[in-house]
Amino acid sequence: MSTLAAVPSEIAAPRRAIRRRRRRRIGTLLLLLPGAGFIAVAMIAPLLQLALGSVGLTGLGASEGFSLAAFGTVLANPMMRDAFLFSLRLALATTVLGVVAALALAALLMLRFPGRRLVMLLYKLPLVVPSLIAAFLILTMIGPGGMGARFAMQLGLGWPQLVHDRAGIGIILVLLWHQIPVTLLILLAVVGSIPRDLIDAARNLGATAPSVFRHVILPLALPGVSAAALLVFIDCFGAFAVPSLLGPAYPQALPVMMTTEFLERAHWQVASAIGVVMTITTIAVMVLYHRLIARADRERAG
Amino acid sequence: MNPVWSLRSPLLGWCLGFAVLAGAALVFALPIATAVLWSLVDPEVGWFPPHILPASLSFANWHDMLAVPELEEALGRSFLIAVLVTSLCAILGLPTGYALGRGRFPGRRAIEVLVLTPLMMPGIVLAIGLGGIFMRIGLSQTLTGVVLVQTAVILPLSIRILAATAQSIPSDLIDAATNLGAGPASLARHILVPLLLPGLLAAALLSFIASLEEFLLSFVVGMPTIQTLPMLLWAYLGGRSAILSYAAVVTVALLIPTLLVLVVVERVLKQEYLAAGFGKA
Amino acid sequence: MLSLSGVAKRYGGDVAVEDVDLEVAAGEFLTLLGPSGCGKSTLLRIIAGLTDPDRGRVWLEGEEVQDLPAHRRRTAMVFQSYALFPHMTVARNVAFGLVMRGLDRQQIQRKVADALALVELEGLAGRYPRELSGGQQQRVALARALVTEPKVLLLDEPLSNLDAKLRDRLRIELRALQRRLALTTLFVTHDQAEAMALSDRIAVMTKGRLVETGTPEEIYSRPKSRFAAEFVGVANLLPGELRGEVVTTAVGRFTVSAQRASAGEVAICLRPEDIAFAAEGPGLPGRLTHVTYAGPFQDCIVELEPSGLLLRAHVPVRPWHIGGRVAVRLPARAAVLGE
Repeated sequence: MSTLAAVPSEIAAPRRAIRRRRRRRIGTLLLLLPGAGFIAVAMIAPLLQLALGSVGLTGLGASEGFSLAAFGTVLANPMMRDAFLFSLRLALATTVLGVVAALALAALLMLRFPGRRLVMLLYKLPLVVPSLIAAFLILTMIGPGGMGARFAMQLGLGWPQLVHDRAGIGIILVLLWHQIPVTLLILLAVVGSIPRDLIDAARNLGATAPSVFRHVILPLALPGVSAAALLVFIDCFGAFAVPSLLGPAYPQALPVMMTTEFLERAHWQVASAIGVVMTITTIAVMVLYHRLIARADRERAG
Repeated sequence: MNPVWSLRSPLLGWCLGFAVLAGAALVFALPIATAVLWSLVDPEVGWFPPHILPASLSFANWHDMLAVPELEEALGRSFLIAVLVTSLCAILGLPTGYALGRGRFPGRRAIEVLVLTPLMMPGIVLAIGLGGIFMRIGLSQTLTGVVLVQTAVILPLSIRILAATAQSIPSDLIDAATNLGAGPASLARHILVPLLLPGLLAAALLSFIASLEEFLLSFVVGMPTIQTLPMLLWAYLGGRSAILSYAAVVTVALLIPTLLVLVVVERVLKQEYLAAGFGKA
Repeated sequence: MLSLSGVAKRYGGDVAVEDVDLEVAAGEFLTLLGPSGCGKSTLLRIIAGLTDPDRGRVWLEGEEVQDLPAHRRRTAMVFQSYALFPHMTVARNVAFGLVMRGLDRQQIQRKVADALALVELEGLAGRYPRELSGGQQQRVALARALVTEPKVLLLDEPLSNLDAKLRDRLRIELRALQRRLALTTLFVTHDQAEAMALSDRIAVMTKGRLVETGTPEEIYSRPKSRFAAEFVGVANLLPGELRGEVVTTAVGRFTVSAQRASAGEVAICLRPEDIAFAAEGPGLPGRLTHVTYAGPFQDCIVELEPSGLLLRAHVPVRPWHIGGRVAVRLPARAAVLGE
């Protein structure tokens, strides 16, 4: 500071400002460091580990140096391929069904009917129930010894196989049980942020309720919903707990296979290779999303 | 969101209300009720199809919960881990959340995205990756390892809630305090922390619950030495052997604090925290 | 064209609109004038069908419409926020009402082009609302309403988001347009100068009630209610006693300009430009307590001696100063307010 006193004030002032700004920047950086730093490390380290481990460069077990053998196993093995497609199918089905169901429910909740407020509370229940518990709960309903089966038995009817089945119906139902409320929550928040005036204007110009939904609400809510759908997809693609409990013996979901290779068989390289494949798939989906949907949304919205 | 349309005929309204309420109760509430029933099933008698209701109820399973050592151990472990994770997330999350909420600096958007990336990655990838690293550095199957790995996925939640809270502090208050002579330390102590308290509370509650329920990463890192309640649940559901009534007990034990927290957060704190917490606001 | 009878609406414990009767003739420009929260916007929404009244009936062109849903009423509203659909171009915005009505593409294109020409926005059809200025957005909102050829045009403070000069210009254009189309129009505003400039008739509202209806001239020169007198323009209200056609007050006697009550205690209203000052000569003695230069006139407050009564006057610009003594001359006639 004393050096600045010797400098003419017209030059000193901007320098002081720069110093102040720099100090503030450093302050902000220090504040960001704990949280953002931890997360950065927690993200980069495992990805590095997987990347290097998949080619045999680090890690556990016998490492013979750089080799793409693990990738060969993963990509060529029909079991792995089936697992990959199975997980992809589960994710796609859950996402599509979930979004459609959430849209229908949101439309329904725009009407005034007795008991609506209770429904608004009830639909949030699955949000706080972790997927593992949800698996148990749904199992007690739709499993072979579940409530549904028991009711059917009382009526002398049969009950279809909904868990441990090759189509993964049980898995999809459990995933939907959680994902529909999540998507609905976001959808209602997004719809709620649409200015009321727009809906009034549409009504005033002659739009019936379905028309308002189709022409005004849906286009404006879609960007938010599509972002949510992306997260749902990625979530379901990487789901382990539910497929491990309710999935069929074959095909297994990819995460289940990955865990088996890692924990039970100690095929560290193969597990890492599967991890790399999953990561690349996830990134590809996100890029695809941004290319196709996000751009269209940005052009359309205000 | 407020309802926008009234139905023209009240009869239609009542029919709709009944149908939707019945559907919602069946889908959302009935499974939970069934789980509670399962936890109260008399182990001597069991509850077999085609009975709709258990023949007799007893608290035997709940007694076992506290008697069976691995159940008791898992209960204690889960709560200990939850406390540690919540504290860690608060300490790490508060400064970062504040900086993200109120700071204006280049790359802010990038850091916001960075903070969300653990939630955007498939959990299994993170789990196996971190699991591998921890195996190499000896943190696998340790309490520290589980705490660290849970923090990785719960911290983003915490930061988002705190950032949202920090952002909502009116600048006028900070300006007024500064104008009246408050330096950074006083500002933090008298103005910022009290105003951030609701957000801190929300973040703490949601972090606690998230930690109690966290399964995947704890499983990959902690198995089989460190067992949390969810891991035990997995075992009882067929991961090891299927004991449905034990599974029900663990389920209900996990759900009670969860539902309580949901009610508290919904009633006392604002809706934005809930939406922000789920990473989507 | 438009009639309301006994219309009322409450929100919980708060009264929004109470017992409103109103008649609007075909082609008339009627302004609902009142302070914020007086219920004028609620009334507009009830007419449009966007809000259902608790009580009362609404007729549109002889037909009872209060049970008709909003999208079937032939009213078109221009919102204060314009409410342009952000995800649609100007052309699609304007076309929306026609699309809802199911017209074919050719017709729609033609009508949209005509409507945009009417508001002088040709060439902007392909733009999005966010690319337009406030004034342009307002015109799009207007075009969107007009293209549907409504029976009644409803305008909810459409000019209040614009700066003063623009507001002034658009005011004139709006009125010219309305006259040309002979469209029955209901205009809501809290700006009394705007109401006076635009309307065929003004309906003054406060606290949910319709207090007074009349032409701008009637409301200004011969207000019937205390509220209207004070809300529209500046008013000097003096208590007095009415007998026959003469009111006696503390500062003199006035002939009534319009018969109201028959006899008894009343208040009279004197407008500031009716009060004159002279440096000396006949008049009530007074002392100036405030003098403000307002451009075309001087806005003064004079304290009459010995009564201590304060009057506000608009007088020609002269070297009046605070503390100066003047002779105050009051008019011979005054408006009498019923309570």
